Amino acid sequence: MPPVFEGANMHLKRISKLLFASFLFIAFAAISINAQNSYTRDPNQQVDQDYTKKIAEYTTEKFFNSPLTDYLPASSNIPTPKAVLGDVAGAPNKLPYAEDVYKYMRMLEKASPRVKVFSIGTTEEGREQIAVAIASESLLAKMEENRARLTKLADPRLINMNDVEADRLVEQSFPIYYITGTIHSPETGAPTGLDGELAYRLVVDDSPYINSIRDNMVTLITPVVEVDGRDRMVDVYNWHLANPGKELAATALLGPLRRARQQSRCRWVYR
Amino acid sequence: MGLSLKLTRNILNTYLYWKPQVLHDLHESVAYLYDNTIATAHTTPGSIRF
Repeated sequence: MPPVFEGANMHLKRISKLLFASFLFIAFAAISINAQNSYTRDPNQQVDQDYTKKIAEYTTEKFFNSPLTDYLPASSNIPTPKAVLGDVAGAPNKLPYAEDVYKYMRMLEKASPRVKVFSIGTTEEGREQIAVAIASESLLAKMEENRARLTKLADPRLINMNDVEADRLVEQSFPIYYITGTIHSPETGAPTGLDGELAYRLVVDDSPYINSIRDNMVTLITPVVEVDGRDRMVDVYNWHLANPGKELAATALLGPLRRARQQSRCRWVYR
Repeated sequence: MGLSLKLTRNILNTYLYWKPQVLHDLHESVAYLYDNTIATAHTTPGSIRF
């Protein structure tokens, strides 16, 4: 095999190795949960009874929930999504704007060293996009040095295709699990419920499997990808809540549609 | 992948910067039943529409 292909082959093997390690970790977490007779939370950690009661109340069928999410661990200093939403995540008739979701993520960042919020740019209409990193404090502190290692693994020319060095980098590195929500504006669930509450659980929960995730990898979350469409979706949703039984006139959409088309030919307002 | 939108480029830049091993999009579809019609147009005889 020509050296250049041989090098690329080795590079792929290394990337596969790290990817395999990530999946192995997730599989291990799943097996651990199973081994613990489905799931056991930390018995020494208090449960947020009010929030937990609301979860049960709003879950329309028991089989929609699981032992992993049918309770919320309590914290004396970390705010729950209720602090911003006024109710639990996923509550009926509540659809927060992206800025409300960001406000909650930044509250978490302020309250816990396990959270870092990065601003990753703005959209066509000037709305902010963010990425929220959650992990143990020590892991978050090593994110940049870990990134430098992953960069070398992604382009092994930077280490002169040195296999020994590559293996050493793999040993030292930890995986990044990047979650994105609302890539399409009508996909309302992720920022409304999952991302905020997931972030809270990853920060607060002391159960063994959450500890294991927190200590061994960084969860990176962009709660809303399509921020402009999301906010328009919330506008329409709130209009319907305020005007039950009425039809929203199509002309109400023409202004934003025209503006969006002027800004980008390829853009769909409602994708 | 189309990269005409800033919001798409921002996500790609985040991906390329942090080098995640897993990119997990929390996609949503119609509950219970999903038919992906990509590459089989709705008008194709025999294709399923919901």
